[in-house]
Amino acid sequence: MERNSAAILRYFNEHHEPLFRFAWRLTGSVADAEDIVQECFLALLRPGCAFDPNRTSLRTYLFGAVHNQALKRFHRSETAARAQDPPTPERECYVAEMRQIVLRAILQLPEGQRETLVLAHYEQMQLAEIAEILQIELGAVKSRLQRARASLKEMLAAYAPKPERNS
Amino acid sequence: MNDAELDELLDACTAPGPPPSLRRGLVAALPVERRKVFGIPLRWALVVAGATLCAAVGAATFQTSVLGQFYGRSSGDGGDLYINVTRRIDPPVGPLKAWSLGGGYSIGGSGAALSGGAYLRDRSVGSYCGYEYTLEGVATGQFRASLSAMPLSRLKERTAPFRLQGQFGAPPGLPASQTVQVGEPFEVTLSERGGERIYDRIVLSWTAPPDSPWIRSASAQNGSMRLAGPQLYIDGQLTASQRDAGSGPVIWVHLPGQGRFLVALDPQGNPRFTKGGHVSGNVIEFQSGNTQFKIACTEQIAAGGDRPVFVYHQQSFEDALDPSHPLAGQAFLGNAGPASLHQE
Repeated sequence: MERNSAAILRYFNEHHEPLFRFAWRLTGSVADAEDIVQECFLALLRPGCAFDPNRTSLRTYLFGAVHNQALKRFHRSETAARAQDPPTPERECYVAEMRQIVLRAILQLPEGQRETLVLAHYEQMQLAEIAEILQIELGAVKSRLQRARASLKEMLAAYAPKPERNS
Repeated sequence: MNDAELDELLDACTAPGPPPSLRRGLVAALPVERRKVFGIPLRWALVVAGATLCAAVGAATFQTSVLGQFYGRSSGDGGDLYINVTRRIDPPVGPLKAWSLGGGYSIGGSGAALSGGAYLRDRSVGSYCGYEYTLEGVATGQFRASLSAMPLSRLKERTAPFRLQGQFGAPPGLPASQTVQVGEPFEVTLSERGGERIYDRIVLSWTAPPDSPWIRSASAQNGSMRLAGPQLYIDGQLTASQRDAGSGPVIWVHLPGQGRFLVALDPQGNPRFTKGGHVSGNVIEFQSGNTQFKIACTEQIAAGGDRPVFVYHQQSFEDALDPSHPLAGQAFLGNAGPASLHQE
């Protein structure tokens, strides 16, 4: 595998969009997602970069790198969503966008569940690949995903599509 | 809530697309490889090439046998090893012919070996050729030089973001392998026809060559400008930032779809350059058409105090770029040698 500036730009063109989405859904911040994705590509050029094309695909490695970078940031400072107070009903009405409501709910999940859910639901990854990216057992992926979905159902219960009533 | 209803809610959370600054930031942060290509963003190598040719330009009749000068350094356990490459043509030629002979050189290294490649572009006949080399130490002060023709795929990488326009060939009669001594020049021929020979003269040394950037500061040269850590502002808006854009008698700004804007302290009488601004300290400001340019650097750009700069808007530059290359759609900065002052 080539590791020079031209090659990095080629890899960037191929992979940066799903990586950015993943990073954004983990952090809820465009600026953080931008920094994380940029750092992951630059890390490929550094001596001692752990990527081994004989062991894993570049895509899997890069998703894992985003996961690690996001964890570092998360441990350095709590994400904005976690640091915020729970949203008041008034504020929810003011925001009034389902997108933000769902994102806030996702950001409230424990990080392991959040990553698993994002990779499975939004990036449509197989559970085995998620296990490789997160460096956990397949069984742990399944249980995290189940817990994440159960928590989200609870958090978003008020927004569930309501059946129409005939009066 | 059932699974389908949850999926429906989750699908409402669409992610924003990556901002353009993501790519720009990555491009700016990528290391500039040790290479010199005539007319592309470069580092110190071009400055030295420029210095060589400036002297010739100043003479009453510009005839030169030196087309470019390149330096590299590899640090190892045994100390620093320097490589000094002079691209030459025999017999000497005038300025337009010299400008028509572009090319590039890369110098790298890992462990005990130095490696790199060089190519020649002859605009007058529309041809490219190049070679790659590896230098491995075999004894104290002695290296084995292995040479091979540069493949087309590598040439495309080295000429990016410019499109290849012309025929691709191999240099004539490359020696497969030879032993070279530190301090003793060896030559590699790139072109030989009609009594004209273009070749690289390569010398290895344990000390920095006298004219190399490790000895002489680029910014100390009177006609030269250096863009260290430049930030480009267009009409007051930060548009691009780079870690380095090299140095030379000409620096330039590419704007997507508009070509490039060349800036020189001394345009050597070329009427296409008109006075358009000034350089002072770490900042160059100039105007072309209705566009205001400002380049702010981390170091002094040119020797002396406040000095005027001359600007030439070269729209045809856009045609030279490979439209599929990421840089083609971005603003970026570069530098060029004195031969660019003589182009049409």
